[in-house]
Formats: sequence, structure tokens, C-alpha cells
Amino acid sequence: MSLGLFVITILNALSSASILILCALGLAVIFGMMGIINVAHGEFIMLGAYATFVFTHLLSLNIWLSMILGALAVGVVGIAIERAVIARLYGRPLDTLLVTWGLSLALVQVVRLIFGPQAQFLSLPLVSSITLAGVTFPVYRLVLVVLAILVVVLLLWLFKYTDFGIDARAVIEDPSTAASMGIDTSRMYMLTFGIGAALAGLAGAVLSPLLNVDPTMGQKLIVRAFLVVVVGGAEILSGTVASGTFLGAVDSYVSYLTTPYFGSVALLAMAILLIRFRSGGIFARNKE
Amino acid sequence: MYPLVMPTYYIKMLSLFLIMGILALSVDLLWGYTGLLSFGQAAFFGLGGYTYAITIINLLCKVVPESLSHYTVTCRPGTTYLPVMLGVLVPAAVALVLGYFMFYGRVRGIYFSIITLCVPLILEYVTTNMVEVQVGNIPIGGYNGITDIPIPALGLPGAAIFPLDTALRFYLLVVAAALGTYLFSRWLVQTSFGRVLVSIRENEGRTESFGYDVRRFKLWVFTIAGAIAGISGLLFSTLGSYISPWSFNFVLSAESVIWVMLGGRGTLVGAFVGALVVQLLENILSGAFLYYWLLILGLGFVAMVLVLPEGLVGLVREWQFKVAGRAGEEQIAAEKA
Repeated sequence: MSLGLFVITILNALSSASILILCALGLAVIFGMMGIINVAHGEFIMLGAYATFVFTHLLSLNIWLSMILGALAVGVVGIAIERAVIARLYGRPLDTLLVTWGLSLALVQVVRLIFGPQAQFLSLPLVSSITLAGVTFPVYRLVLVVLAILVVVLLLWLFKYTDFGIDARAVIEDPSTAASMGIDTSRMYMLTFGIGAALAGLAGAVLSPLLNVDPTMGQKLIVRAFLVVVVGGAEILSGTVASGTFLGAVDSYVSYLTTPYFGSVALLAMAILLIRFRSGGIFARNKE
Repeated sequence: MYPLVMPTYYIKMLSLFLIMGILALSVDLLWGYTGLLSFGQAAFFGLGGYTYAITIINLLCKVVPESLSHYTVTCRPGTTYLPVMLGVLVPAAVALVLGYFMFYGRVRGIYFSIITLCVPLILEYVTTNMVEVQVGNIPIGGYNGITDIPIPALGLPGAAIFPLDTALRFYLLVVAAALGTYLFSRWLVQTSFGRVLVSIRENEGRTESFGYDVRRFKLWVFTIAGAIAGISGLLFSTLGSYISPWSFNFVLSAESVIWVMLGGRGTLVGAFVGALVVQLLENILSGAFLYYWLLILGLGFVAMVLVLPEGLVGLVREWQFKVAGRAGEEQIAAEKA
């Protein structure tokens, strides 16, 4: 294999992985903290994309600013949803799953009613490509890889070195003891859901120039995000990063060898195998 | 009976609703009675449909390619016992293998649900991609699927053949299938096998400590549910004479869970109630509120979960409880077990 081919395979794998990780982190934070699967996560991503679209095209803001605002806007929406609906279903994970499914349906329709079913177009903020070892690769995708790393580092810092983070990890570990220590678990859940939503919004925002921005875009992304989170297991950050990288690499490599369809099949099959043989996540201790 | 006076369109609609009810039944058997939330019954639904289509076309029809991806299918009349049998056995066999893979690997809870979610996705991707691949004399057809599937026919092979060629006759077949699967399930859950299932749902660890091999029970119920979903799928493929990768769609799986949830899980009859009510609502709403109906549906689900977690049949049971007092309480306790 020539050096160029090798380089581009690696870059494609990294790009694939970074997209998966960005999409999955929000879901992982919510799942890790509250033990619930937010089926509307895909729609939060979609809202992030649409928010970016609104800020750029209708308010003519700089695209980078729009992306940040988009992420924050979705965070706010997430907090609102948590207070209105999710908070009533603590301890009922299955019902939460179904409720978020209903919400996902409703959100898709609301966006469709407001913006129409067609795809919106956002132009790439960076159209240049760089050349490495004789192959060209779009700069924007490299930016996404860097961004994914940055977000992970940021979350790491948040969870390890801030008071909020320490409280959050206490609640994840043992909610009742944390509560008896004076941590407001309800507020913690609200803020975590908001953070998870904002992360989803960020993913949608930065992906908006790359993907088709239409009301159903979330539905295509959610399954992969699910898989990354479940395969990643209980470790929110290291699990998501590890499974995202691995599954992203598998998908990108098989897609290169065959077709994108079979890349997806490979990702799904690999996820099934990992779940079966590493139940509890990639970093679980083998109990049997 | 109502259908005797209804126009064909409505009979077909009712048949569709009942077919989906059978699919929901498979979900309830797994979820309501054994506590296994499967998001993948659509996999067996689609497998049943495709197996039936492929078998019957191979058996009875000649396929002549016209142009690219365009075929003429001419079929001679014949009984359809073999395609029906395969349409049930193949999904059951796949369920057996998949179940073995999962349960004997101690996959449980949400991990089970996620794997069941992935399987129909894989099947959907694979069938969408297999446009020219042929099984016997019929290509899988990719996204467009298989069309011109002949209608089922009863009778004696070679001698008398009764094709179910009117909507009404097909509807009666569907009713028979629905009744059959329902009665079978009803019988199953009140055998000792069924009681162990409920015990698994309530507390798997304790059931094991009584000496039951829970893996075997889960495997069997999963296989049976796969067979039931397969029946639903093969009926579906005959209803529209058409099967496509859509039959593996996640939305179908999710909806089947919603129907059971709405109708009331663990009631069996709730599966049909939920399927009928939701599909009817979808039909009415999409007609009346063309643009808003999905929104109403979504918000409706949210409201349902917040207000009626036990589903419609659960609501009826609560009413029974309140009205009948203590005697009703005993009856309900007996029914729940």
C-alpha cells in the first residue's frame, strides 16, 4: 500500500470516528448519568443543524458563532424538555424511552412544518484541502477531528476538576448517597440533560455543512450513536471514544473496500459481536 | 359480520390492521410476559414475507427478465402450503440461532434490545443492496423488493384448488391466523412454561435459583415469537402482493412496541387493541389533519406515557377493579399471573 493510500485510510477512519464520537457523546453523558436512552437525541442533533442554519442565513451571523449559539440553543431546549417531561419519569427508564420516542416524532414534524421537508444548504466554512504525502484531504474534516478531541478533553476537565464534575460523578456512582450528602440530584439531572442536549446540538451544528440538513437527518444518525454508547459501556468518556474510534474505523475501512452500505453492515455486525462478547462495554471486566 | 357489507378497500385495511396485530402479539409475548423488549420483530416479519415470496414464486411462477430490473412474472395456480410453512419456519430458525447467540451469551436487558434493534437494520441494508442477487428464479430486487406475489390458495394439490382471491376470503384467512396465534399464545402463557416466563420477567435471578435454565425458556419464547412475527410477515406480503426492505424498517419495530404499550403489555389482547386503535387513529388523523397528524401522534404518545402507563387494557382493568371491588381484585390478580 502506498504511503498516500495509507495516510488517507487513516484520515478517513479518524474523520469517521470523530463524527461518531461527536454524535454519541451527548447520548453517552445522559445515559451514563441518568441511565436513560434519549431517543430524541437524533432530533437534538437535527435542531443544532437547523439552529445553525437559522443563525447563519436568517440572522446573517458568522458561521462559527452560529454553531456555538446553535449548540447552546439546543441545550436550553434540552433543559426545558427535561423539566417538563423527563423529570416526571425518574426510575422508569422504559417509559422514558417511549416518551422520548414520541418527542422525537413531534420534533421532526414541528421542524417539517416550519421549514418544509426539503434539505437546507449550508456552505462549508472552510473549503480548502491540505495535501499530505501526495493525497488531498478536506481541512474541515480535520477540524472536526481536532474538535472531537477538544470536546473530549473539555469534558474530561469538567468531570475531573470542577466541583460540578465531582458532584456529577458522585450522582452517577450512587445517587442516594450523593443526595444524602447534600447534592441536589434533580438539578444535576437537569443540567446533565442540558449538557447532553448541547453536545448533540454542537454535533449537528458542525455537521450541518457536511450532511443533508432535513427534518429526518437525526433518524439516520441516532442508531449509530446508540451503538457507540452501548458498546462503549459504563465509562462515559473512554468508552465512547474507544468504541467510536473502533466502530468508525471499521465502517470507514469496509466502506472503502466495498460500498458504504456494507460499511454500515460491518459496523452493525461488529457492534453486535462486541455487545455479545463484551457485555458491559469495551472496558468491562470479564465476569464469566 | 361487518366485513360482509364493507367495500374492498376497508376489508383490506382491516386485514392490514389485524396482520399488524399479530406482529404486536409477538412483541407482547416477549415483552409483556417474559420482560424481553425486542425492537427487532420486524426482522422476522420481513424474513417471513421474503421467504414466502421467494418460495412461492419459485414454486409456481416463471420469471422472464424484460429489461434491467424489470421482470414479468407469470404464475400458474397452485396450493401454497409449502411457502406458508417455510415462511414460518425460516424466521423461527433465524430466531433460534440469534436467540442462542444472545441468551447463551448472557446478553440481557438493554443489550438484548440493542442487538434486536441492529438485526433488522442489517437485513434492511443487505436486502436494499442486493438488487440483482437471485434466490432460485427471482431476484431480491433491492429497494424495490419483490412484486406480483401470488395469492395464497388452499385445497388439495393437483386436485381442487381454492384461491383466496377476494378481499373477503383473504380477510377470513387473516382472522383465522389472528385467532389462531392469539389462542395459542393464551394457551401458552397459562401452561407451566408460561408461568416460568412470567417468573423470569419478575425476577430472573430468583427463577434461576429455583433450578430453571432461563436461557432455554428465553430461547424458546424468542423462537415462537419469531415464528408468529413470520406469520404476520407472510400475510403482509400477500396482502399487497409485495415485499420490500421497508418490512425490516426500524419504524415498524418501534410501532409494534408502541402498540403493545398502548394496548397494555402482558395482556395479549392488548396487542391487537393497541395495533387496531393506533392504526385506525393514524388513518383518521392523516386524513383529517394532513400536515399535523404525526405531530399529534408524537405528542399523544408523550401524553399516553405520562397519563396511562398501563395502556388501554390496563385502564379497563383498573375500571374493573374499581367497579367490582374485592371479587374483581381476585379476578384481576388471577388474570395477571
